[in-house]
Amino acid sequence: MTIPTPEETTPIEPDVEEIISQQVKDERKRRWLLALLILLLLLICCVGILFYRYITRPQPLPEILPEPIAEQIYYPPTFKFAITGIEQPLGVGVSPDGQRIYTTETSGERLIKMYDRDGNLILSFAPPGTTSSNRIPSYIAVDANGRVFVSDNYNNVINIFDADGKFIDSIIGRDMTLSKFVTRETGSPPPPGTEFFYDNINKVVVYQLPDEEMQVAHAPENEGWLPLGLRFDPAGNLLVTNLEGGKHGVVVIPAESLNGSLTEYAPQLKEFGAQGDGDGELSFPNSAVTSSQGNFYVSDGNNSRVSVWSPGMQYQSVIGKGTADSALSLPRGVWMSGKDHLHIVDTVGQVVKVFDVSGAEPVFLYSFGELGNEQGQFNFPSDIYIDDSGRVYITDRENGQVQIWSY
Amino acid sequence: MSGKFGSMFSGSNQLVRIIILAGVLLVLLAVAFGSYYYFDRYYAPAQPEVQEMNVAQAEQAVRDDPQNVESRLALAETYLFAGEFEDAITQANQVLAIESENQRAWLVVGVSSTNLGKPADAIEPLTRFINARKDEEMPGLDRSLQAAAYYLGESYLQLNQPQEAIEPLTQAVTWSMTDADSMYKLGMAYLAVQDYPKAIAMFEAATAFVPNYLEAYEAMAQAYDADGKPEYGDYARGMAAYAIKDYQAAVDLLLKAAQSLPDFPLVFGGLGLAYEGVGDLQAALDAYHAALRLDPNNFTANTGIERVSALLGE
Repeated sequence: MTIPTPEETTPIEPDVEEIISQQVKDERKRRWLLALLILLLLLICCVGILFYRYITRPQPLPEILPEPIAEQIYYPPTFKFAITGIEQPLGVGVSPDGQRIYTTETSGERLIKMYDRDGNLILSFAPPGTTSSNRIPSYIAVDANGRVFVSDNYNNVINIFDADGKFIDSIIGRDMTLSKFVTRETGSPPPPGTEFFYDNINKVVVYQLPDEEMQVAHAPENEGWLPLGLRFDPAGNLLVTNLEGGKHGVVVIPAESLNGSLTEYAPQLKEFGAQGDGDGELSFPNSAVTSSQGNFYVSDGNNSRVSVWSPGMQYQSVIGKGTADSALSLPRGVWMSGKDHLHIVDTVGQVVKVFDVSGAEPVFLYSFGELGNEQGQFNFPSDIYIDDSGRVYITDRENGQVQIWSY
Repeated sequence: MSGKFGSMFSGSNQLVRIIILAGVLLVLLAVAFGSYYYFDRYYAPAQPEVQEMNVAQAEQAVRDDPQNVESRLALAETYLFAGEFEDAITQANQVLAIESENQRAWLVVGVSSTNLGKPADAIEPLTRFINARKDEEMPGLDRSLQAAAYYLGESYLQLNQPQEAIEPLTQAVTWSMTDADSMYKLGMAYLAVQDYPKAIAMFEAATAFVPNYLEAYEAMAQAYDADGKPEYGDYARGMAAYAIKDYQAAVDLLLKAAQSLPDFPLVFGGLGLAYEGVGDLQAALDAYHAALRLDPNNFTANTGIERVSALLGE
């Protein structure tokens, strides 16, 4: 091994400028990397928050976006699955938490059926004192407390059940409930355990107080009362389409009358509409909803249109006339989604049509569905319900199913 | 940066490793959210179709009681509705082996054979079915009788025997006076035997019930041209354009037809519809009024005026 010379062992003097330049470059790179890291961490936080937000409150992504962006996004729903084996379903409703689906059968046993969110049957129920031959459960509305209101097209009543299908009471006239009638008959409110039902064929009310004999009383006249379509507005008022002879219209039952004691039921009803095919007239209205501006939208079935009424219940205009894609044939169930998107089930058109009614003029957005018996096809659809998570429930009568679509 | 945390980010290589880790975490989180969102909103487990369920139920009923003629007949009809024509014929023939005079089985065999493109096999069972039922009290209420007549006519048309098709299709139209398909087929039979006026009358009747019946308009144009009336053919072509929603082409063709046929109310009714399609409501209203001057009972014009007036706020 040779011994190095002094020249060879002397360290080379680094170029100071080069070192400084390298340090500056390193520092710049480090800053860029740090910025990138912060950006990535922010993105992780955003996705994490979004994920958490979705799990705790599932909604379509565009609904979660800031409003100005969300308002510009229109997109039809996608078919998800169907609950099958239902005898000609007509009405559909969903509990406020979205976990229970209710539908009415209009043939066969004519029961009200309750399913879980995945479409598994929980139970079936019906008003007391009725059989399949003397009841036709029709439209459904579920209030904020989970009570289920079901119109009965045979008995001309609105039956009220709790969330588990237990019968509570019936609205048997414009200002009369079963419990109020029994109170009047007995002189005091019926105690817990009292059973009662309304028999429309014999026009009697049958009731039995606990530990007492069954009593039969002549039912009060229910003139002017033939409820069909039911919907709650955001304030909890019940919008009822009323097919009383010669006066097809909409009756609004105030929330306080429904939330108070039904034994003292005395609603200050508001109503509008008359039977006919002219302006401000209705022919077999099936359903009524309100927009965020308080306008009423009524499916005017046999006039092939949806009629629009002001918050003061003055007739305004119609939607769905003409020959364009927006034209309606036989509108039945209607639903107003959060962005004032009016969903209209066109039973004969075998389609659901969606209009944006948030502006001065309604704008036709899109339609979905078509005639058939395959997935996502309709065979005389009737009613519609959209829950907070963006799930769309549609009764598909002749296919015997409730279809579930998803936004 | 100071202390332990600061030292974590002091070396570029270490920083790069952390960034890669964060990137992977971001991708994993995004994929997890995307998958969860998709499955929650759009994933649907495979479900049998309504028709499949009906078939399965009908098949089970036959398995439960193979000797039950009614169950087997119901299965044959279910196969027919499901479009499984071979299976429908097989089951119907088994019914006929037990009950040779079973009318519903004849109908299943006949309709299925027509749909399978075997019209020769359809003639006899459908003819027997019609003969057995045509003298009943109210044949117009018997939808299966109407169907049998329609399919018998269709079978003759498939066999290129339009003259023979005319009688059953005429029966089908008589028994169901709003059946636009039977009218169209009868028109096709008349067109084939070169009876153009009757063919045109049938196509007009069919389009009165189905205003966007494309095939009927196309056949109508063919019939008018063959009858030496090409200006009327322009009307039919205009309406065919309307049927496929090519409204501007419809306006152009119908305006041309209107110049040649100023006394033909249908052309003005059609023009009103086409103008509605392009959104020119005032022109549509004018066209409808022109149609009504020529024919006060013109259905298209009467309903069109009502509709357009409502839209114009008049």
